[in-house]
Amino acid sequence: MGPIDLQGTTFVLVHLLLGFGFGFTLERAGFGDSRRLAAQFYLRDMTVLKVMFSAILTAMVLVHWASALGWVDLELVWINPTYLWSGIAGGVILGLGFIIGGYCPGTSLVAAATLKLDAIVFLAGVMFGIFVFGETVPRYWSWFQESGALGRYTLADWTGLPTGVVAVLVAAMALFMFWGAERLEALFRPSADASKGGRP
Amino acid sequence: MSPRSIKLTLALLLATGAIGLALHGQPTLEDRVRQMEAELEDDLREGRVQIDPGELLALMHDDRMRLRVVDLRDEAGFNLFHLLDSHRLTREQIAGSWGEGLHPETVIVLVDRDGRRAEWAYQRLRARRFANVYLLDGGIGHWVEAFDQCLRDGHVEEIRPAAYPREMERVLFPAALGAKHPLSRPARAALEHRSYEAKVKVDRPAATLSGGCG
Repeated sequence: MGPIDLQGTTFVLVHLLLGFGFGFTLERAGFGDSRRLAAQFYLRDMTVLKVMFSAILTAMVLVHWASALGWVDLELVWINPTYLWSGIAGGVILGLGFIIGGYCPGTSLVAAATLKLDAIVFLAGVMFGIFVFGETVPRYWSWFQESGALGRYTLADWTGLPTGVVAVLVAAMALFMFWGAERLEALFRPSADASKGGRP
Repeated sequence: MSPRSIKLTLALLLATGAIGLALHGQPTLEDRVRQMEAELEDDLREGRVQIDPGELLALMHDDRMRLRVVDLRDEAGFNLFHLLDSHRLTREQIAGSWGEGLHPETVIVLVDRDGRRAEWAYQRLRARRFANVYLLDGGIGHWVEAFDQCLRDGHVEEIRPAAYPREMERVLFPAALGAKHPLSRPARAALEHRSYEAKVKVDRPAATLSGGCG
């Protein structure tokens, strides 16, 4: 039963392959272009929402089916613990950085790999921000670690609904958002398609 | 196939997958216990997880150890006498959400009267993927028997272990002292003449991963 505990060379190879696949997919989806990424916030190009939410939905269905069939024990799968208030604060900062810089940390790596200057500068900013955080976090460590600490907390825990019901609701929400995103794109995309950013 | 058809097909597949999940359901705790039955029965049969009272006392005196002693007896027995810093838990709590948030290296020692409840609880906690779960061998009676010298040093008259639990309780515990009784945490010196096979091995989890897609 999974998850599989990988060691040594297998561990390195699997993670290299996964990293390659992830970076390749992001780049092919056009996420190495800050104009396409920022267009999300102007509702002109909802590719980010559609790609990311599709990935979330697919992973959710596959992981929970693997659990339902006894192939994976979800109790052994790491789920980031929830720290509500520091998460919200971090999300606000990330959102500001995303709309101003046009990248999130992962996509900035994708774009930097293709030698885009704005991505390289953005990445330098990310590294500097991480450094500043590391140097200052002792001052607010207790707030950071304890504010809204909920532990391993899933939607099923929050709603009290069975996991399968939550999966159906998330799928319904996602499919509705995909439909809605295309309507918004039609409404807000300029007729010249300036937001496509050179990706055919 | 047109892009629209592809989108609709994929949407249908995902929706079907999600609905199937709702109908099929996820494995329950009892399902996981059944899946792990062979391994758990083997641990219990081979005595790999039943620890001597001496080892538990050593753990209680080890400040570096993250230890939780869980008492599974009824409320009356617990109030009469229990080990220092032990927590009384019910079956519902064991099978529910108790322990979420405990450090992964916490050693949990289950204490009961005769071992049956402890074995049941052991199976559920292991199925909930607590890695370091042990049982006090012989339950609370064995603990009392092991450290009754503490009593002979001035507290109560000699006890007969075979008389446990009812007669022993009347002799040993004339009042509900809970953790105030000297037996709740004998001094470290009580270990001097006690030998045992150390079985507790703290299972340290692999480094946890974090983050998202960035």
